[in-house]
Amino acid sequence: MRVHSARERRGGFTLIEVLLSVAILGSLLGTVFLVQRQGERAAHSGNAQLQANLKAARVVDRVVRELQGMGGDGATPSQATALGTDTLTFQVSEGVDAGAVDWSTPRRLELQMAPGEADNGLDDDLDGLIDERALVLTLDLGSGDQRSTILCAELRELFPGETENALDDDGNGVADERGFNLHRTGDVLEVRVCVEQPGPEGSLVTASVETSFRVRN
Amino acid sequence: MLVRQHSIRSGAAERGGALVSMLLVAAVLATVSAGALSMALSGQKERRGAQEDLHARYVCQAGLSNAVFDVQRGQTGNLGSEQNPVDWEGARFYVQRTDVAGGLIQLRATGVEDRAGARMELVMREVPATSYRYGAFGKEYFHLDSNAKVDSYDSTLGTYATQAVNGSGADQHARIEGDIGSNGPITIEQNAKVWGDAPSGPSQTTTVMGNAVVTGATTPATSLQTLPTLTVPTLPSLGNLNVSSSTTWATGDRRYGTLQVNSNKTLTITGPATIVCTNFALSSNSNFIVDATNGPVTLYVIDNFTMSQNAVMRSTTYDPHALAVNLLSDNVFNPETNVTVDSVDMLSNTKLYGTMVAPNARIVINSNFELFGSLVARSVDLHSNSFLHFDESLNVLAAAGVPDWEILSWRSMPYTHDAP
Repeated sequence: MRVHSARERRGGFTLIEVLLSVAILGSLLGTVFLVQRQGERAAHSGNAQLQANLKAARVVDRVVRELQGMGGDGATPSQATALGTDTLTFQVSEGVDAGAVDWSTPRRLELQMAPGEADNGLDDDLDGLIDERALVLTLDLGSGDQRSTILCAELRELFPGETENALDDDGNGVADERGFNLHRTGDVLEVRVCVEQPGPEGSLVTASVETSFRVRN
Repeated sequence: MLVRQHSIRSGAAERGGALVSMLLVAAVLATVSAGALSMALSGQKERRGAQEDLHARYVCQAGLSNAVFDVQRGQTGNLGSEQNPVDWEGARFYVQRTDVAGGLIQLRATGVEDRAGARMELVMREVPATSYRYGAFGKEYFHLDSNAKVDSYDSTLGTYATQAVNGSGADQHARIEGDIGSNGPITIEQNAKVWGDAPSGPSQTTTVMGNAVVTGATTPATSLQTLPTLTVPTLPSLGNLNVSSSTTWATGDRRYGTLQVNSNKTLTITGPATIVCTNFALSSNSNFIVDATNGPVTLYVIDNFTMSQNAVMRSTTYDPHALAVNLLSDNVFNPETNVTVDSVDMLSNTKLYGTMVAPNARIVINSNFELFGSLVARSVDLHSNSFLHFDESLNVLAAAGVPDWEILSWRSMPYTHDAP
């Protein structure tokens, strides 16, 4: 005659216990992943905005570094108009030679259509941006050594709040400013940059930065 | 009786199953967290690097400003050294001075913040602390009407026309040292252009309206300018004279009551010569020519001074050094005193090649007048379309007085961090 002890009867899990455990574990994991996914979305969104802000700040910083030393007769067209300018030809000081300032060969900062884009209201390059512009720095303009560098390829066509109507819609003293705009009063130059890039889940992230500095030469 | 014994391991196996699951979950969460932390740290590292770079530039600029101030106080401008830099709020800078040709002072500053660094160079020179360093100076105020313009050229390099190759149309100009100044306010109306500095007097302002352009600095001056005092030589009067036919005078000094050159006539004066007159008038289309082959000509006018339309005052070589026009005219306390430089119609070509000093007079320069040289007056009003061309070669260092300083060039230079 076999006698089963109590411990033998309790060995292992019943099906119900397993199913219940799996359900609880699945629920816990689901909750964790749900929270994690929401956090991930928020992190992506915040990170995208942060990246856009950093990009805009870098562009402005680079522009300021280039233009702070500009002078001479090469700064054209005049930036001192209500429309400012999105294209500037300038020269920078390369030191002093024989008692006179040695000016560099002409350089140009110019807002152009981004590569692969046309000004047609369509997203030609399928990057989620419509008619985006690129800020191009050209060195040794007009010479055989001319070379161009794209400082940023995700600039907006117009600043947020502005429409192309020759009016100062956003009330900042400049009309119809582009995604890159220079406006000068005396020897103070204002620089405005607006970056727009794709964000998470098809959204667009915009970052605007403006600064002003005194032209040194 | 069969007794089944359960080994301890089966109970332990049950506990191990749950632990493994939880460890798995924890591992997944840790992986995700580590990834997020890594991204955050990476971004923080990048931002920190950018901040250090920015701070290094600020420190470098601070060092450069300190060096400039040092030089202005008569010190060397050398601050610290690469081996022994100056501490500045946790960062470091040093500045090295080098004297270069042409009396120029070169200052090179280096700012270092941890592993980031910046280097900048500034070149400055001493300039006379007098009103002569300006293309035009109005002691009480300076006003440019719309479309009035001021630029500069260098008569030692050729004529103005050969140097006016920059810009086009209304923006055509020569050089950009056409500084204007005042001990009072400066007002620049729409469309006016100053290719140079426009510093107002201390605690005053330079107002640039609308789309007017000033290519240089508008920072107020730090000290007042004193206008030169004119001393008229004593000469016997020869009475009044109307130049009714073109004539040439030999060298020598002369004094007249009223000296007038009639319309379409030319008075040529051979230098060196000093001409003093109570009243001076150039009628329309008349010419006052100076032959400065052997020396310049100086004209003193005590009361009325008039240049009518199309009148021209110049030297045979168009050199502004050759003719100095000194007006003692005071049309403020004596309003009946007439100081007019006229240009009536759009085709007029009234021009003056020389320096004009009028410390007591309010000078109103009417439309289309052109001055090649310099102008110093009690106040200056440039009407529409008048154009002043400062001759930079007139900027001569004064023998006395506290010097002023001019920044010629500023540039940012490459910096490389050398490992210690």
